[in-house]
Amino acid sequence: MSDSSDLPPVSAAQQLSDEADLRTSLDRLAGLVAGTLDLDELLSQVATFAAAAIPGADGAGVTLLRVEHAEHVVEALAASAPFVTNIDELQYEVLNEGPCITAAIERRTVRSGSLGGEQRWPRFGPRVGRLGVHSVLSIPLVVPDKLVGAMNVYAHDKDVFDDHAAHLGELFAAPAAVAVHNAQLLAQATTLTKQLQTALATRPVIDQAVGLLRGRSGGSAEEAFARLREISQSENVKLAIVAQRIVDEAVRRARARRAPPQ
Amino acid sequence: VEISAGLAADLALLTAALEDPATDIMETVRQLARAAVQAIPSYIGLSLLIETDRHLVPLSAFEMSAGPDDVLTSLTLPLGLWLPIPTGAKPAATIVLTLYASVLGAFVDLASDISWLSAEDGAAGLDQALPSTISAAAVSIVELALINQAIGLLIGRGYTPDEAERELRLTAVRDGVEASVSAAALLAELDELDEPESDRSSEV
Repeated sequence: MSDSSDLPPVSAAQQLSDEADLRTSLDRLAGLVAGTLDLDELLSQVATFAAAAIPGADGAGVTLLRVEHAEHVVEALAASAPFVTNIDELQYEVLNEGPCITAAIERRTVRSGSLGGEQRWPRFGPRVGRLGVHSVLSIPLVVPDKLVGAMNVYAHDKDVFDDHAAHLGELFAAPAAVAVHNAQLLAQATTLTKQLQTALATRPVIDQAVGLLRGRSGGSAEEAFARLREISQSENVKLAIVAQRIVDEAVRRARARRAPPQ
Repeated sequence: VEISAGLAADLALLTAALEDPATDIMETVRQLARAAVQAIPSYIGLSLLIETDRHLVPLSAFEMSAGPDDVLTSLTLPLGLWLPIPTGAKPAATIVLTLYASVLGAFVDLASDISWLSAEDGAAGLDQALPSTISAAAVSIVELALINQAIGLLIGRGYTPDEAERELRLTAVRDGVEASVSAAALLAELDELDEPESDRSSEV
């Protein structure tokens, strides 16, 4: 449950507008994997959608966390804006205290509307207040059996996040947790695919050039590969391009020998 | 994750082709396996099925003390679907990743999450592939390298690439062996030529 708030209730029109923003962000969250290139980008997208979904937010950060013996271990973090990156680094790397760490360890939504005078984080609060950021809403990202991370939403003004904002944040956090939970696995799978595609595109011609060089001057495959690499380095041209050139020249010569005399 | 000597050799060849000292495909496989263990407690291994225009290359890696016989369920992810391919470009291969687990139903939630995250029904297939379904006609990356080296050797002897490939295939059929065996035999002739005269005379 989130901390209490004394702010007045939002109007019906504001509520409708906020819910429309939330729906848009949830729609964007679904379909996130298509075209996503790496883990940082995926987390950064989730942070951007979070900032758009939660009323009053000036920026948001998403952190992939592991909690071990009441200690948090940050595996990755991403933010929708540079000021969020600075604050989250301060929280995790410099001070080791703050709303996100509390939210993750206690597995509950945490918020503050006056960080400069915040007693719960006596080192973090004043430092962030001096940066001109006064409101924070931190929500743990939890899938059925475990905590996978946390989401921080920040605003420059005081008392920005009320019960309504916390409620919308929690509605966004549930599917965001699914995305973050699977992000690591999907990002690694995507990285592996990219590496394999790149390697498979060039390996055949490199091997053909290795065979050609071995046929011309003998030696092992390793020696021929080393020779290719030397040419590549001395000419400052990629190995695959050198290999392709050697193969193309040999094919041209083979075809020329077959050509009928003019 | 346990990386066999064969898989290590295959991944080393592929890594060498990347020309990026910061990238080691074996390490990426290890990281993927670690992420799979985190996501699925009963995860026991993975396989990659690489299909080029002419060859099928299966790679697999199981966790320590687990093997194909322990697989009770699988989740297949056709990875090419998620990568944006430049207009007009043809990917070098289609790559299918399959995760294996030792507990039935282990991938149900993940399959549903992936379908939602990728906005595509069928982005992840449950129990579509078990380790025994890998084709016997498959080759390893090391064997593929031998075939391509032999093609290069024949190109150097005046064959066009198509003729070289046909020659290699015909020799393999004639000798009743796989193309990689014919390729290795052809390349072994080079090694014999490389041996010092005294070594060759001592073999006679």
